[in-house]
Amino acid sequence: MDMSEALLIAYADGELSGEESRRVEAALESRPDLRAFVERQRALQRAVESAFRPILAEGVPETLRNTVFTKPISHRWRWSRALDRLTGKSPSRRILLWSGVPAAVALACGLVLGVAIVPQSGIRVDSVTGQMIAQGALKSALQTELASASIPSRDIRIGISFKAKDGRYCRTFENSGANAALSGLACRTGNAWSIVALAGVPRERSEYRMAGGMPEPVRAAVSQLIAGEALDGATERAARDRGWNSTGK
Amino acid sequence: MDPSTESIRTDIAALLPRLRRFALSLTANRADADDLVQDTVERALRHLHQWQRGTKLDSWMFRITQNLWIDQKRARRVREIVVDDPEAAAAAAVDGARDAESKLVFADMVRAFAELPEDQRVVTALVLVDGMSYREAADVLNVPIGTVTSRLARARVALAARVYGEEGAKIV
Repeated sequence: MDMSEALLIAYADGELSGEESRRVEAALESRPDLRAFVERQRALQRAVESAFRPILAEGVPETLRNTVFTKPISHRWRWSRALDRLTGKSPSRRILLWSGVPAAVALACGLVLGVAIVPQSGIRVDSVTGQMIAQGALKSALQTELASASIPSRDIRIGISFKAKDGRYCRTFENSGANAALSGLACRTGNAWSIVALAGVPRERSEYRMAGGMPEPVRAAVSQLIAGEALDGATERAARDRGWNSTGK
Repeated sequence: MDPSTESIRTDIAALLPRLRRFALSLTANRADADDLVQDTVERALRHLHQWQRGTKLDSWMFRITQNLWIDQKRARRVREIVVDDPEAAAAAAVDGARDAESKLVFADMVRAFAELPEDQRVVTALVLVDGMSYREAADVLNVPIGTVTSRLARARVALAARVYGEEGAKIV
């Protein structure tokens, strides 16, 4: 076995496997010069570590701490955290932004797409709760439009309305843009509509709409939450007229 | 404030002492070191979406520090590191140190580090100063573990020669 400096240093650092270690030790038996080399490298390690150790005990400059606590955090990170919180943290349960393109591309572009759509789609991420909240035109459509009287030419259309297992009212929606549509599920939470699933659908994939289908993440969220069936026209109207206040489970 | 935002800031704040120590072992200069950590933190916050959750936050931030340092050196075309006046550097660095000797040891170590080639200095800083395993250092630098082993060995032979004299450094 060639006793290179690199090998002996790795041995001194405890980086060798058990078998390699034993072979080095066997070689060291008869070589005091190599033993001295190993000892010196261990001493060097201690010397370097202890020379720099006092830096750890110093106070961190105030300006640096302020930077950590005040500088802006990546919007894309906040957005993905918000999605995680809405959809469950475990990756298997996580409902990904879905854009009708191959999965890898969707993963790469999904969050960009989401952020790009947000300003005009009427969704904001609540900085306190981390939830996505409908606002503007989307909010008023969720509040007032009836799925049973949905007008196809509108930018925002309501798909179905239903009562969730926890008693809240939830509604699917689709928000058409010039190049893509955004399909989602919103549930009435307090006085707001929080978005629990969201998927981007490229314009050319509009056969999903024509087939009356929903993108998989939205469909999955609906089937997870729905209690019984979608509301019929009369029940939906009554619920809207009560302002979507839940009437218990 | 968003609780998850707060907790990531707290996690980053907890890394500051280690990042400062790492930065100082790269820059050999306190002002540059604190600037480097400052840049690291701002960049990390701005690019937090690039951090893969489930991977180590410290590795990711150390990687940012070392990338920024390499970039800065290239941009400024700095070939030589400006080492602080050893006395001043030591005094500032080791405020709480027990004795003058440890200040000298520190100043000497900073100088010895400054003389190492850049790639070797980074590896040495990660493994000897910060105490990372070879695997962790390889992850930070995104190089094969064998590269860490060989760079570290060259650096340590040079450091040992400086600290213990030529004859003690090499296998003859």
